[in-house]
Amino acid sequence: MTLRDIIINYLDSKDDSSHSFRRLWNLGTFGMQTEFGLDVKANIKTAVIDVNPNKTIALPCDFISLSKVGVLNHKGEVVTFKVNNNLTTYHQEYFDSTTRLSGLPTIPTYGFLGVNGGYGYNSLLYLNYWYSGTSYNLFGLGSGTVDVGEYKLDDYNKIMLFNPQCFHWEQVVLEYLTDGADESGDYPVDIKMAAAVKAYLRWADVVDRPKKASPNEVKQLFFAYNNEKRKARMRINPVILNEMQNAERRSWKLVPKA
Amino acid sequence: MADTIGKLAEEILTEYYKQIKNDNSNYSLRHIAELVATEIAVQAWASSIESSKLGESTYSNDQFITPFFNLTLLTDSNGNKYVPMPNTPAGLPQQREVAYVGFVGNNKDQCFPMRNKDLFMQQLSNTPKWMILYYVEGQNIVFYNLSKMVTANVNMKLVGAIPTGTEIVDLPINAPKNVQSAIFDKILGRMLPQRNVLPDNVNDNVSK
Repeated sequence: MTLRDIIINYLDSKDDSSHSFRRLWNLGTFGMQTEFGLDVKANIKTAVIDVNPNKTIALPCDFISLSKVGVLNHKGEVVTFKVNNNLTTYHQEYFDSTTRLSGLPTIPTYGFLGVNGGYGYNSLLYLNYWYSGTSYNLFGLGSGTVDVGEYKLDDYNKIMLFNPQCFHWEQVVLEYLTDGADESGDYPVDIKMAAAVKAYLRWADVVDRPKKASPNEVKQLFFAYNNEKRKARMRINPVILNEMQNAERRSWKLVPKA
Repeated sequence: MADTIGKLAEEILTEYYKQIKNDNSNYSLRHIAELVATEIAVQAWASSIESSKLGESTYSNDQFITPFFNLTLLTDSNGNKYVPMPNTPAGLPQQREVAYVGFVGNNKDQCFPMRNKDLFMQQLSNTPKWMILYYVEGQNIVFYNLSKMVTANVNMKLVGAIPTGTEIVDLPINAPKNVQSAIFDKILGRMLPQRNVLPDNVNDNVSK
């Protein structure tokens, strides 16, 4: 089922014709991208994306938000990169450049600031602790934390950038939340939330046209829509007893007894 | 009652000459037929208004619909694809006088109507390729986002428009039977008072 099917069904239901389709389509796409894409059912897409020579990737045009980014291990799991918001966005849009950070002020590999024995530093670590005139990297990586790559997300410019010095992957696996549109430009609708989408259209059709429905009717339609949305969430995320029992069994660990 | 526009016009003329026995204005059958054609559009409009009182439906009775088949798709100097409307339809709310636009031999690709006022919103929005939009401008059906590769001929159905043909009097009436009476009375009622008023209003004691 797609958004188009639901609009056609709604038009038939209200004895309307094709003349209202264009308006309802625009109302519907807004609802699919916002109300349903964010609140009811996320449309997650996985893509393998080539890394540009300047160690960045341009995010897909239907990218809404990030789920995970990384490379695969031997079991097919995505080994995720670590976020590092200290990476600079300088010249990030020069995709073909291999020297996007050249000419920037850079500290040498290792040494001391000022006289010998002053503030110690090295080029690899962002030192987050200062004590007795020397900088240290006080807290190391937590146990089990992978570090096969670091990234920073520039949501505004739709660019993800990686560490230009250490990042050596030529492709990455990107899982992200999309706007929900398929290749034809239509929006697939899970049958479990179809009634909610129709209720949304019924409400959105009149909410900005005060002569078409009284404020009380609009309110009633809004309540009906919210109730349908609640039911859609329950249908999409049902309670499966077997999964709950599994989770409960696995939560029992070997623990010291008093 | 009449099956063609000319037949209804003839009935109106016959009735007219029965009541104005010494009239020499010599109304042509074609003139009356043109009035009939216009009244058909008025009746189509009235039909849609009657329907709209039932609810949100503002389209008129199907019997006012005139289909036009296999029309050639043209391209204007701006590269827009368009098809001239073969005859002028009635004016209905939300431009529902255009009941259907589609391509010959293709029932899958639907054409969806939009209004000129919608151009602003649509140009700033994404339009899927399958949603072919059209609007009415200068007696033409102009396609908003039709691919330049499409050259198929077009079928359309217009409300309140008379069919195409060489002689208007020979064309079939595309209106339900019950509205012919209203058309008859309205045209005759328009003609009769004109003849009852003396054309010469100068007080020269000579009646004309």
